[in-house]
Amino acid sequence: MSSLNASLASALSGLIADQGAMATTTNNVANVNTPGYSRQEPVLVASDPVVLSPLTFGTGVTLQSVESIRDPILESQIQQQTQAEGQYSTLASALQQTQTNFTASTGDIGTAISNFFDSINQLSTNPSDLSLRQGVLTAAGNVASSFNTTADSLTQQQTSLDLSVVQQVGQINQLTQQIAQLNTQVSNLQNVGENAGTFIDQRQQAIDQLSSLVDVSVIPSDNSLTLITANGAPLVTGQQSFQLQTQTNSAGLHEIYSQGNDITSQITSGQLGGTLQARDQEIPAIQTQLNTLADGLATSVNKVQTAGYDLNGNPTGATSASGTPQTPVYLFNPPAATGAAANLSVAITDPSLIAASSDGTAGSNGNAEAMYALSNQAIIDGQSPTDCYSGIVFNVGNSASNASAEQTASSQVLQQLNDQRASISGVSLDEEAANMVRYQNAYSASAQVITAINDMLYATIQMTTLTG
Amino acid sequence: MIPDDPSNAATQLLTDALPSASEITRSRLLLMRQLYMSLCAGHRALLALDLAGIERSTMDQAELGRKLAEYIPRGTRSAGNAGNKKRPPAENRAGGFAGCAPEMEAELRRGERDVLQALRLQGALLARSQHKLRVMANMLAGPGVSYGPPSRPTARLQSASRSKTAGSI
Repeated sequence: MSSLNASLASALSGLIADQGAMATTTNNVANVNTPGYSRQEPVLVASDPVVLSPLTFGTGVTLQSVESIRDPILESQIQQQTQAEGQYSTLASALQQTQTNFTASTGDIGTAISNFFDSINQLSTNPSDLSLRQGVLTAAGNVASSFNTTADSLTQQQTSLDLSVVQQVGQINQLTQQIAQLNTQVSNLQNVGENAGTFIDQRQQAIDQLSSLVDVSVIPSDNSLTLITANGAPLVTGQQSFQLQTQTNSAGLHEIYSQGNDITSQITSGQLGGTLQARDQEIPAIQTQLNTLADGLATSVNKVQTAGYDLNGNPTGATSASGTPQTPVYLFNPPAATGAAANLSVAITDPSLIAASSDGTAGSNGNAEAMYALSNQAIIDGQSPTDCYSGIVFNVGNSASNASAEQTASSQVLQQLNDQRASISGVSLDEEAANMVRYQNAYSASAQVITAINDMLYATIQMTTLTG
Repeated sequence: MIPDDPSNAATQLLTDALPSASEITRSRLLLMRQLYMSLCAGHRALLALDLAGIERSTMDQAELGRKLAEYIPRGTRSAGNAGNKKRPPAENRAGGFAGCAPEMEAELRRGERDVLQALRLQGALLARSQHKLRVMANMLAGPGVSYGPPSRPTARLQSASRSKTAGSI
């Protein structure tokens, strides 16, 4: 039969366990508003029984551990959506900024091209009018400057995105260092059987922040975890973090290196992925389309210009009236192989050099009409200049709207997942209040048992005294 | 009273029977709003992975899309080629706005923009739901099931029909 002292020890274990459980509840209540905190639960187990043949007696309760409540699958889904949200928010923001260059205004390329062809149309009504000729030169200058402004703006945006790449890599390095330190703290505590919940929560928050920056995969291991990018470049392995480096390439843009390998093209998600997508894919694609338009327009206009005669009846082509070779009189300077939009410029300042005439007479407007006809001819990739420009505007708008829709979708899914996480890992004050009452009652009952045993012991001592 | 010219009378009757441009525009606007609301309901269903809701809203959208197509003149409908980034030809860009009052046209364009954006969001949410379901399917799959994207339904149907012709169940 169990002794009174053994019963006292059992009751005492109850007091200690309930005290620990109460401390867990207190900590949960205190952290009800702490971001990233996961509620904790005490794990109570019955102590090993003692066998006093033929009976077996329990020896009370032990507070085995305090566990944080987490859903690893949900955490993984949150990380994925955080990455997508980060990517599309950065991309949408960059594309919306790009879109402002193509908003219809007095200085936009579309308006400048329309005004240019209108001025040629006007010139064709009176080809010898110098003011109308000057109008064509002014409109051509406006076309060139609108191309230059847009191309410069795109280059500036690309440079600014490049700066963001460097900043984001710096943030990633800071976070991976922090995660490696937290790995050490978690590992140290778990190795001695202590609850590392607080550090795990802090680490999870850092991983969430890292996920918004770059596509990261989490591989849990014993008491620690490993973080790698989607392409397998290590970021954190246990207690060691691996820094990403940036190096400038031949175009003056920063490439990202991990352990000496260029991983720039392999980063596809997170804010860094979005920034790289805008810098290396979206903006260059728009630049290429603009260059094609500028090149096609300038080349076509120059072709017609060099096929006519200026106001003085001189041919503007490569052969003079006497049949000797001469430098052709272009309207636009022949575009460079690269950067046609950024370098587009008007080649002449003398309005009389515009080749409006097709036969050398001052009153002829044949060449001006041929130049005006270019406005409706498929001269750039099978499209007219205005249709080609509309196509660029359409593509930019379409990409921006798609990125915006993707961002909204990610935000909505992420919100839903965060709500789910809060319902699993968040602190419910109602539940904690119920737990508090439960532990309080259990503590009181254990105390009552101790009082009863105390009385019994007193009675035993009294009996012994009387007997003595 | 007998009309002087039977063909004129027939034309008049036909004109009276046909809805006016403003009536057509109003109907289009109404359908567009209903489509937008249905798409919003679809978004909620997709987020909650409410299969019945997804099916209901998809049926609604198909029906509304069919009704809407009846009001859009032939030759102005988009081919719906998401992969083709080229702008539709100029003659298709009027979108059947001819004969609309400017304010009605503006409202129609706004409605179209809203529906288009809601459709983009629907596409993005569908892709996420599909991904989530694939992850769940992989999680539920036993060790004997190979992981990866599900086989195409057409391939499965073809194999099913082959099995049927072979006489097996």
